[in-house]
Amino acid sequence: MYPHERSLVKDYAERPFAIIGVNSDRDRDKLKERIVEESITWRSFWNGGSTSGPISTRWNVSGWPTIYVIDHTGKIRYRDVRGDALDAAIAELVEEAERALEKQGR
Amino acid sequence: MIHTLPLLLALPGGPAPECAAPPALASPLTVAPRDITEDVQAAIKAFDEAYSAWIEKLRAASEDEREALYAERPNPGKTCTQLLELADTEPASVGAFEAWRWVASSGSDEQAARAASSLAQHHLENEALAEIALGLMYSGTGVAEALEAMAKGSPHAATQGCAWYALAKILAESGDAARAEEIIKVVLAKYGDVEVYGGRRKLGPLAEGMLFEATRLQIGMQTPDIDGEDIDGVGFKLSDYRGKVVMLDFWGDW
Repeated sequence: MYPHERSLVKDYAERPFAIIGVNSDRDRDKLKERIVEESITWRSFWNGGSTSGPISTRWNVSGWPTIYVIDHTGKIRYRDVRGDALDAAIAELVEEAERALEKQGR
Repeated sequence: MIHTLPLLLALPGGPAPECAAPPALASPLTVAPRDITEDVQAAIKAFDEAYSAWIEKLRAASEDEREALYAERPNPGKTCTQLLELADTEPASVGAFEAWRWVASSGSDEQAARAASSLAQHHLENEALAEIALGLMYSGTGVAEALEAMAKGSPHAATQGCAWYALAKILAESGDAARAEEIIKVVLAKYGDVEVYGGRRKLGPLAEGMLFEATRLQIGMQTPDIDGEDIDGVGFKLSDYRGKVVMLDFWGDW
């Protein structure tokens, strides 16, 4: 996953896109080391050090990774898309966001 | 055993039929339930060994060879067919229970449905049915009827709760949100304290999660906010990123 995420961050730098993680690792210090090693630049919520932490429990997450793609207005638009389908979903929604921003600018 | 009976009957000097007080069927040779446990265990072991051997081959293979090896992945379908046949010969036995347990978790949706329905018919009393019922939530709508039978027929609260919970999950995924919600509320009201996954989770929080997912996390819905802290302990909210497309990724470094 990391290479895919890194390339998304790179491809969409300067565009209205962000990856937000919810991390369920146990050891926070070890995770910080891994974040440096893997050049993970995106921000993550800390799920309390467990896969059964408060955020993943509330969101009923039972498989990892679980992915939601949310549009610029805050609506859930895609769930559990992967690979090419994930790329296509992000491309579509980023363009949609940019069109909306342009309209606002006019 | 099957072959012994005709041989015995054919023995010269055997008791004449009219003298045999117990009918032939009552002879210990024929009524003793055939113990299928060993056959069941052997079938499962054979699959496990084939699977381990395949994993070993995969580990040793080069990147190029792997592609071809994936096609050779042992298919549990045949083992399930064998187990289903065995179990049907002695449905009330421990061996049959073990066979159906395996098929419920490893078989195709159709095979799992057959196993589930047989378990509901013959093994409602077995306490281990609770975890099997829970696992059936991944087996599609074919197990719905069996789950309902387990929920209504088992004397154990854990099995009832797990079966309702699994049924709700299946209904929610098949688009019957109204009935799913109704059942989730029953789970919350009556079975919230039932422990599952070896005591690591309780049905209450799981059912709350399912209700939240069904009513707040569907495509087209406004995303519920997350208010938490990042890895460095700095507080932030998901809604801070409004105006951007967000890929929300539940992940772990494992």
